[in-house]
Amino acid sequence: MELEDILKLLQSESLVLREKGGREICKKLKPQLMGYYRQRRLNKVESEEVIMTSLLKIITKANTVEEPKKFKSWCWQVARNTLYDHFRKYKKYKNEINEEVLENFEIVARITQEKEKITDKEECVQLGIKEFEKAMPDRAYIIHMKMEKFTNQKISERIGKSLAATKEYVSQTYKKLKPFIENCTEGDD
Amino acid sequence: MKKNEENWFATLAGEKVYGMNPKIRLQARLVRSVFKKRAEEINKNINQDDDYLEEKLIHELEKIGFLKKQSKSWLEKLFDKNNWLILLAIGAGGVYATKEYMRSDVIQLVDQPQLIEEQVVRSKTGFWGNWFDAQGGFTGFWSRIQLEKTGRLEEPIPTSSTQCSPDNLSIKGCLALANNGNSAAQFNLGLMYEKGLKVEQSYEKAFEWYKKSSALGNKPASINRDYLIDNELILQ
Repeated sequence: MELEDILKLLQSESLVLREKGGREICKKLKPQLMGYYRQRRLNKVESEEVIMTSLLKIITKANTVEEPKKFKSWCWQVARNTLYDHFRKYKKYKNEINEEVLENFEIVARITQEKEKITDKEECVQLGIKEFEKAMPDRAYIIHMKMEKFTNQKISERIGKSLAATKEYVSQTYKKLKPFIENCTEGDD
Repeated sequence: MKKNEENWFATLAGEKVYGMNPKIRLQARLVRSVFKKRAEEINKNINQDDDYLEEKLIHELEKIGFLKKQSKSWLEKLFDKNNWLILLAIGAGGVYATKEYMRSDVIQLVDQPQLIEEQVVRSKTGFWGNWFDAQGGFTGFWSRIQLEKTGRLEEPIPTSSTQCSPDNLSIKGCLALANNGNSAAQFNLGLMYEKGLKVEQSYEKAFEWYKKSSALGNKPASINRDYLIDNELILQ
């Protein structure tokens, strides 16, 4: 069932149809949200908690959505906001909200020393990505989506930016990631 | 996007790119490998998930009242600020009904379910027909609006059975009425099969019930039956 059909069910006056809508949206979005939240370094229990909060918001506020075509991006907007609320609630995620808090060079300088000890290239990249995810989780999720062959259109729905802004964001993401993995392939020119 | 960048993202997505810088290719492949492993690990957990989250969600929705009707006392209902229009309409309905059924030589059918669904269908005729049923009861105009707006009725129709109503649909309740030739119940069965409400979704069965219901003159059923045909959801 498509999201637009589910919206109709959720906006229905009938309790039976509303319940059906609730179940359908759960089936549809749960795996995607779980992937999204897990990629953002939430553990399984935390992810479920945030999924529950997001779905409750989506279901109970669905009647405020006037344009069915915008329902999908609206759902992702709710999912993102719920995640940020979660980050704000728990101090351990204080760096997650503003990814630009830490300057690249600080991290890169720190991990370069660690990477020098590693000879295996994949292990080296793994370490770089781990730091990249910590510093810029939003951008790490972009890399994940690109790996999964998401189109820029689909990415824009998920991150809540215009298509043009998304293209720029994707391009910047590549540039931001580069210093984290650059030294790992040295000697392969 | 620069060529190197394009090639990098293409390699990240697992595509084969010829003529690209080997160092960039290696980087992209290594990044892909790390992200792939991570994604596989996450997906493994997702697939193991059962339906308990869904049940928990429904329970929460019931708890916050989203899936429950708000129960008010009859006094609260009567004097609700928006109810003056309904009161007026009920009063007018009463007058209309009295006028229509003053004579005692009209045979009245007791608890004839078919009349109830006809409220929806007959709403095309006349001003009063839009608002009241044959007994002068206020029927509302929601179904009519929905029909005009979407061309389809996607809400269950009320019947004489509480087991086959918009708020409580059950296959048993609707079947009992439908097998007695109640076109509203037949319509509801069609809707249940079309939407997969408490039954396994089947356009074929939905079509059969819509067909039976429309044969008894149920207009929404014939619209929904035509919808299934027009959208090629069933093979004719």
